[in-house]
Amino acid sequence: MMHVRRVNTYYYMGVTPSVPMEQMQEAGQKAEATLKSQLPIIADRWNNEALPEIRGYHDKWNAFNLTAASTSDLLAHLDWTLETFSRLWDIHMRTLVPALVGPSMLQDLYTDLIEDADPMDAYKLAQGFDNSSLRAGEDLWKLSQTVQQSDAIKTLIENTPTNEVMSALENSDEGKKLIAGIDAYAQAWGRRSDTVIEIGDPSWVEDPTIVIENLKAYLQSDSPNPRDQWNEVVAERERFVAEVQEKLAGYPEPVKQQFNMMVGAGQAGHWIQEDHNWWIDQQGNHQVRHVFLEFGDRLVATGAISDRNDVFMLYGSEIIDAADKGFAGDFKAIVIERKAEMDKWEKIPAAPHVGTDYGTPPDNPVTRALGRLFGWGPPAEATPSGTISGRPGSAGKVTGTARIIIKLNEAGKLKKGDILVTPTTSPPWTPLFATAGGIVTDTGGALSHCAIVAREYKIPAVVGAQGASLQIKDGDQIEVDGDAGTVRIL
Amino acid sequence: MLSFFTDPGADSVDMFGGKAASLAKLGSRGNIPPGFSLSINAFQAWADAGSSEMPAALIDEIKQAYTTLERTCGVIDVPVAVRSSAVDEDGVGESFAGLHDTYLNIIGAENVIEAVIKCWRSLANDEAIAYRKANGLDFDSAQMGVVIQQLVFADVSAVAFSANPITNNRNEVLINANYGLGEAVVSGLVTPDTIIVDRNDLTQQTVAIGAKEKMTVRTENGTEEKKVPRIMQGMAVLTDAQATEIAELVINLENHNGWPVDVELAIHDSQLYLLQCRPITTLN
Repeated sequence: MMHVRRVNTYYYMGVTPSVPMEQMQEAGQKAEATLKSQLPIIADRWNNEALPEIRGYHDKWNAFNLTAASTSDLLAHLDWTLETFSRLWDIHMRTLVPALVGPSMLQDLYTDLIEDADPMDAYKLAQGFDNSSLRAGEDLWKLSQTVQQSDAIKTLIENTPTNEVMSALENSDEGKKLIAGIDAYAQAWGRRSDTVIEIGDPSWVEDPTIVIENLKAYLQSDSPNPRDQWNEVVAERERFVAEVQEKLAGYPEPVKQQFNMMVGAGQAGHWIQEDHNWWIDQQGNHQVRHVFLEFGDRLVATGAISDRNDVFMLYGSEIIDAADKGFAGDFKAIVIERKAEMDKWEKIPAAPHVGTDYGTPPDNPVTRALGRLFGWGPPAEATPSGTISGRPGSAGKVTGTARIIIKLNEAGKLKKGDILVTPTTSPPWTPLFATAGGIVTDTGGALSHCAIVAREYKIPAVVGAQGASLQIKDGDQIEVDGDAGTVRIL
Repeated sequence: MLSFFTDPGADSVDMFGGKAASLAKLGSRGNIPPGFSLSINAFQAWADAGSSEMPAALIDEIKQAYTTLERTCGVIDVPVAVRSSAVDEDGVGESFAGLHDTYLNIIGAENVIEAVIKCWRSLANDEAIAYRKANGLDFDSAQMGVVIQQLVFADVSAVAFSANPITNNRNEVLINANYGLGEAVVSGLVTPDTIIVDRNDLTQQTVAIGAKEKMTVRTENGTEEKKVPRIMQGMAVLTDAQATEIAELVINLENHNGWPVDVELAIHDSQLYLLQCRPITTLN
């Protein structure tokens, strides 16, 4: 069972057993059997059950006219929204666990079958399947190509502060055409924000700054299509699958079947890890955020708060109470107080974990998969001083200028070939992978978003290099060794 | 000096050894991969010639038989198992299970000839000599036939007993099974799955999933022991239907022979093959 506790404005998540200890083993075996039965049908269940259901919810959200709704309709819509959001996360967990365990078990099976294998090679078997992150990145690159065709627009974007670009574009027909392009992009892919856990962050629909930052990065660097290497990635997978199948030619049929099934599970797991995030984490957050923003607008109208975004400083019960009373009340002082509280704790590094540490979790397919997502276990072996140890994320070695990017609105400073250094990445960060020469993250393992997408783009990545974004300074020359899982400050 | 299993007289223990004779005797009682046997005379001719090269006439005979086997199986370069078949083994009293050499995945007449000579030499290997001594069998008069049989690339191999050889319970069929070719399970190299079936109603009494540390897989020119992937170590090798089919087969064989049987089986392409059948030698 998952628990969430708020400590000093930070949220901590904990998992506790849902059955008494004496029933743990039996429950674990049952869960493992259920999980294994899902592996061959990961893609089917996503395509035929989960996605149609999720699309239905988004259609309903998109069709609901927030501004025209009566207070009681809006409150009912909020109820439905929260209920549906909860359902989305139910689907999320049912989807993500097998989607994560599939590739992880593929790695286990691959290293069991092929002696002295590089475990990272297992993921070559699963690479090269299209997904939302890649499509969103490619569409943004295509938009950058339309800008490339006009020197005037290109100069305007390069020389105008990011937050003034949209208004500057209004001044010419060419500019208006690009605005239409940016709007279309935001319509298609803008229901996302910086992170996937914070409904307080504006989505790209509201604030196209991040889209423009990315465009700037693409323009400065004259980036090639991020999919240029796509055919090679696909061909490498096909070659590698055939190569391993050839090695297993003399193996018993049940082993071959198991391998082929697990390759399928690993492949589906890889693209579903990106797609579920787009449909649930990102768009789901966007929908919930926008329902609350309507409450925010109405609270602003009565003067209860001064900015629509201040609604995110209030508790749900406070918002509903206020709505029941015709959005009456005055929360301005409370908002200031709570913002001050958040500002205070933001400056104090949060404890990485609180409560009782129960030690290393038992070794099983699920904990192994989670370890490969979050980057548990020891990092790469100790290396000479001046190097930071992480985990191999994507193969290859590259040297470049480090750019520390904490939030996506700094994306513009990443030039072609620079090394993106960041605490972590999530799917909305994908366009940066086309510009980056390599990536270093503080957290994550071989199955993190960062590692998966870096492999699709064939750029070296070291993930889970604890403290890298603090130790490395913006502008440092660094060497990223994606095979060894180490970073060297030169 | 050479007979196919289906030839008259191929079921003579004195002439072809226990293993070869029992295969010939099985006749149509199980789905047996085709093959032929070399008689003790072939062994004797080789021994008389100084135990070095095989006599030219015998070489020709083996080459011809291999070609015939290719035709029977409908496979060019048909892979075969070459197994020793000593006259004093697999009798009702003693079992030499696994003591004499077996060569798997042998392809081409030249390689068969080489493997046959190795089998003949294995008559005198240390374990076999020790086993003979311990069982009061005469070494000097030991004679050996050799079985050359199409190799079924077993996806699953099993050893089955029509009576429980551990508890001596005559009402139980005991089946051991593992992935891959039979070597790993026959030689006791691994802990296979163990299934105990009630002879009366064919219900499964016990299913113990073994650790299945290794499996025998086919390589280009032989076999190799490989690790069973962790995920498959915890799976049951046989389906319920396969276990029932095996139990029925061994009960039929016991009823036909009049003695409890110990059989080696292979499953390939969902087809059950009977590879060997001999008496259980340890029952009280």
